[in-house]
Amino acid sequence: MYSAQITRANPTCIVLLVDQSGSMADPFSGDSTTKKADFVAEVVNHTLHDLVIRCTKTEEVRNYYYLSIIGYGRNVGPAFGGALGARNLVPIAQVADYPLQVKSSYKRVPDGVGGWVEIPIRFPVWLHPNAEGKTPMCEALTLAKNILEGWLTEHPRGFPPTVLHLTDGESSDGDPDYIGRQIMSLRTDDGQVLLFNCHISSQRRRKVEYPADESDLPDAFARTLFHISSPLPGNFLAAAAQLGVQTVDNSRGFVFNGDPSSIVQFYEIGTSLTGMTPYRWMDDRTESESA
Amino acid sequence: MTSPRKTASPGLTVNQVLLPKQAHSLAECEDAIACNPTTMRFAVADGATESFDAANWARRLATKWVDSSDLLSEEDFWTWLKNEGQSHNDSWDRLDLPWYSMEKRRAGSFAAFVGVEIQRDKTWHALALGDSCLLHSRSSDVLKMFPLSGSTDFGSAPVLAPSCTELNAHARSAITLQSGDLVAGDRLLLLSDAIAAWCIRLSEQQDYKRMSDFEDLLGDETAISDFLELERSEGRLKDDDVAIVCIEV
Repeated sequence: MYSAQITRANPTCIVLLVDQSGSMADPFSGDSTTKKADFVAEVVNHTLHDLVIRCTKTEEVRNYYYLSIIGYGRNVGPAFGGALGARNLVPIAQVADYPLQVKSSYKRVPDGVGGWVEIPIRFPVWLHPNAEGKTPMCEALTLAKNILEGWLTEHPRGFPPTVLHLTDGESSDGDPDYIGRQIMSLRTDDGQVLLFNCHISSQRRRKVEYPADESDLPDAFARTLFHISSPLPGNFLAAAAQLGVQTVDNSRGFVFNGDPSSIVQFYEIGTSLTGMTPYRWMDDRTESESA
Repeated sequence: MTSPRKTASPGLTVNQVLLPKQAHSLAECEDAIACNPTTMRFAVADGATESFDAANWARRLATKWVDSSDLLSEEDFWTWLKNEGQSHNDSWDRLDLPWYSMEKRRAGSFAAFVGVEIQRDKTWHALALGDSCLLHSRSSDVLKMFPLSGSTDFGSAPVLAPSCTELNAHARSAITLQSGDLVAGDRLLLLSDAIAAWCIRLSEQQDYKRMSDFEDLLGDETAISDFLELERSEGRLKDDDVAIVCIEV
């Protein structure tokens, strides 16, 4: 299970579900300057950058992945803008060719023997921050399920699709348990669809990362998200270990009361797929800001 | 599709095999082999798939090294690598690349490399950086395996030959050297990682029959292709590009 080779003939699908409700305009605890929506948009853009670079063969981007970004708040639907607007699923080569803009900067990197060199870097932007309306989580999960069912009909033997869901609050349109379980019951020959959930908080509360059971979860909502979070397959556990994130064999792809570093790690682990080394984009960000 | 060739070298029989991954063409193969009967140098390089322009970097390393002299010390090889890397990287300067190619390019290209020179006194001197390997066999005995010697040594992320040496100065300390003596009938095999792991596993399992079958087929294009495809389909050989140079004294 979870060992199918990802090729152009046998690609996989990644769905990013992003909470864009009004509360995402609030800052993180202890940081009055960074809104949650701003930070999440930045992480999503870096995640897409990483996925494109992985698929780049010199001057060509190979379609190993098909991507969906679904935003939910005032509206529920595709969050790609510009030339990609209103499309539920986009091959990675088209994602690469149609960012909304490409920003440039410089970065200092270690030369491996104690020195530094400065190199130019580029930051494409696909997703702008958005924070309006309620939290129609069930409607967003239902759209994800519909997209996945279409995908699985055409790709029954590929590496199972991954759904990375990020939210800062409880669902405003019902209990997501049923639709979450339906998504997790979908499958390819190589395993069930992976649904990972990351809940982030504006308040300083004890975070729970990648638990294997419910004992540390503070309330019913946390337990609901835990129940609709898939166990991390071995490749994802290995990626977590590379990032220094503690997991155990039955850890679920679930974070509760996450902080900014939790978000970065959630997307890095969630897109590690077949043991691919997570791209440490946070290093880029830190260095470019200090350069 | 394989590309076996026999190279005329004084006193040596040399067979080369290049076999791409399943469902890939030879043009997509990122392994490279080079043989120069004048310098008596032979090399295999294995471009890292995830790096920028890996196939051309592997080809450059293999072909330029066999056509050179010296470069058998860590210092000489590193200086040469720096210059070749600069030329390789510069070859992209004039092109108007999309943002993703520019991003990919900034990390440079990477390849595993192993090269050997056979000298007049029937000694061999080899240099390696990465997980492409040299095996020295005599009859059914494997005398040396280099730079990796166990089948479980493969699979981790090896330090490879970078085209951006200034970003990867640590790679210099991963260069390894080895040498040995040859007698009539000896074989030197230069191998990219998948086939090297397969050969080393056979040695560990003392499966001399399969190893002998393999070596005997190296000069027959159809037979070696069928043999390796069977090993792949039965899960004994990882589905990866294969590069082999077999030098028989």
